Amino acid sequence: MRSHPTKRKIPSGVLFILPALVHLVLFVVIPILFALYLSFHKWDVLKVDKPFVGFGNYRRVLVDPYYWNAMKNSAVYALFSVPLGMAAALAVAVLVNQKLRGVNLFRTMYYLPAVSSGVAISMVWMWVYWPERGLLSWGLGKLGVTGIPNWLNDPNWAMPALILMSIWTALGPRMVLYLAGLSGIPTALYEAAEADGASRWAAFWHITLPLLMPTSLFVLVTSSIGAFQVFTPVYMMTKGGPLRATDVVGYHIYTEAWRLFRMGRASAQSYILFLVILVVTIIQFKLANRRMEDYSPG
Amino acid sequence: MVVHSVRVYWLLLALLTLPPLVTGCRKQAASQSVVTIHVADWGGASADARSQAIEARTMAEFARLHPNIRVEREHMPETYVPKVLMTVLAHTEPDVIALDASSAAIFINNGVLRDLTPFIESDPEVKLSDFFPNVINVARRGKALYAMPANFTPMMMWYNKASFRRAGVPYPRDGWTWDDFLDTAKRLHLVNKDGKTVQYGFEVNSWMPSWVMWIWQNGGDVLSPDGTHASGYLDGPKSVEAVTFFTDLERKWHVSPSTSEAQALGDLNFEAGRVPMMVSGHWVIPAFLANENVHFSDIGVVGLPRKAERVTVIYESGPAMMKATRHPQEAWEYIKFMTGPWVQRQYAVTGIGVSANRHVAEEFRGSTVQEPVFLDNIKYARGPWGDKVEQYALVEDIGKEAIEEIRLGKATPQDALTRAAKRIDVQLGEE
Repeated sequence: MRSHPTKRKIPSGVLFILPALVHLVLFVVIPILFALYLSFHKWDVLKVDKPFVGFGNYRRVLVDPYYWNAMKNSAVYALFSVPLGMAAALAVAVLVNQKLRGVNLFRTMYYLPAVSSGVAISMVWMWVYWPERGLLSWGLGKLGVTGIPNWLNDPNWAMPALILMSIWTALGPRMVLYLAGLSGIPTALYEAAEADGASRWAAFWHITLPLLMPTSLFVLVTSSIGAFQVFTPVYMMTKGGPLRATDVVGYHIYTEAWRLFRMGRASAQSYILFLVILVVTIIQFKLANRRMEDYSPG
Repeated sequence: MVVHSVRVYWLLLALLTLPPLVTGCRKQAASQSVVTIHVADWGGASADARSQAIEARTMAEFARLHPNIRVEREHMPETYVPKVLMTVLAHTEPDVIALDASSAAIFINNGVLRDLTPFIESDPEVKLSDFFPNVINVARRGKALYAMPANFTPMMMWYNKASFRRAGVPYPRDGWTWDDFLDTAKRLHLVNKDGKTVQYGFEVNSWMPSWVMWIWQNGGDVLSPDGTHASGYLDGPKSVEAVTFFTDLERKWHVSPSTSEAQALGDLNFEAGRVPMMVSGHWVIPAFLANENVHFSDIGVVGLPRKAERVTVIYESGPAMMKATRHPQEAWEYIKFMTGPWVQRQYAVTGIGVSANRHVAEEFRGSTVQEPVFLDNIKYARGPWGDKVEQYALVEDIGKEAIEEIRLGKATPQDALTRAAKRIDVQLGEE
């Protein structure tokens, strides 16, 4: 690019990030700030009067049992889907980390859900969970299991069904991260362990897992944030039901905003969710840092 | 099943009511000053060939009559109401929107629609007396009228005659009562040698638009007359009695499948005769006609059974004019055309709904054996609360939850409804 003397003052790097920056400001920064503004107003879409209400929205949300029911559901979802999903992803990553013929095919297959649309995946899993004739119930029936629940329509089973599905859906990206982490572990460590007579299991436990800590922390933090934001499968498969058993915060905020049109309240809910995620993340960092110090090479 | 049917119904209805413009009028655009009006509806691209043909015909006719008006359709399938609301916020609202009775209040109460009365009064071609009064009233506030009704349906009791014959039960008769209904449902219920149900009597649905009428029939209501609170109404003795009655069909008498049983049976329970009675609207007729396995003459319909009162609900839709339109006269021409007899006849043929125009509706009295039953039940119908109360979507959500609790045995009708009423009060009180 030919540059004029006057333009030299602008670092060319800025120009490169400008499109992304403009997008970020327009569609992320401004909406976030606007939501903060909304959260202090009684801002019903069509009402001309949109008065400032101070912390009124926050106070209402804080004592709303249905909001906290949703928060509890999100916490349960995160508490199970994240560790289980991470364990599954790590297991798969270790498996497809082998130097075998056709291993790329498996890597691709495990990654596929990540490039599918969330709506399409939800549709497929609705079929899987279809009572009696769905793949899951049909399969269990063939195995002689009786009293199979009506997964998505049973208040006790709808959430576990969503969690199970999430493990599969989020497998790909987590697997890739773990693969990257695995490739960063020096093989010399395994050779030394083998020479010392360590079993493969011991090597996994004492070499692989500790040295994957930075990767695990990253996966844990991003997955937890994602878990608190889950929306698509809930919207598609259960609409928060039955009996609010799957009414997670993301969906709850959506209904507040787009079914009840109370944007101020919905924004306050969003900010409270943000604070909850922030606290959870800080706790995770603190705990993980303590553990990582134990394993730091220095 | 009912939910699904409603969806399909309104979709088809929207496609029929507000069809796309055939490109023909563009050619004439050069010679005259052409005004473009934007029309929003909740239709999508899934119309069948027959509907599309009717649309094309309808719009060609409009283009012929009004070469200076170009109609631009804006489809907003899924989350229609929020999308229209956003256009209002952004000041990009369409000129005409399809207004559904169930969500009319949010538009009417917030003053984004134009009162059509001045247009009607100054237009010698339009007489409100041509329309069913209770259907007109859905979009009425005092003297103001915010939408012209296109078509509608009262909710009715459909029954599968083959299932009745199999059980040796006489067909329901006009003016039947809750007792007759319960007795019929019990007698329709057939079990095989293993005690497994092969035929139920009725299908209870938690979805509130399908059961609110039971409360009305018992002389109760969901909300206070001013629409401000539910306590003393939704949880009043008459409402509790009504809810107990229809949830007992499943819980006590076992003549209705549970949610999971209904799902396990799959779709088309009614058509297959597994559930011989269901509450639904006119919109199921095209599906019956299209289904080769259904003998249309075996499909019966009767008014809802009565208790203290004989009453049902109407679900209606029609075009409304946005206040912000810059082309009110052209928008009015479009609304008038779409709710006029020529267009009404075009889609009355499909059987999707009852024309809001009484004369057109009467013309089709003989179109099917079911049609006279519909026409004779219109006088018992009232509009849904959604045309008066903005937050009614929330009332329906809470009501559905209450019924689910009862059906799952997690609460008694009284407890579930008391909780629901309290919650509705809190939510409505905040507005």
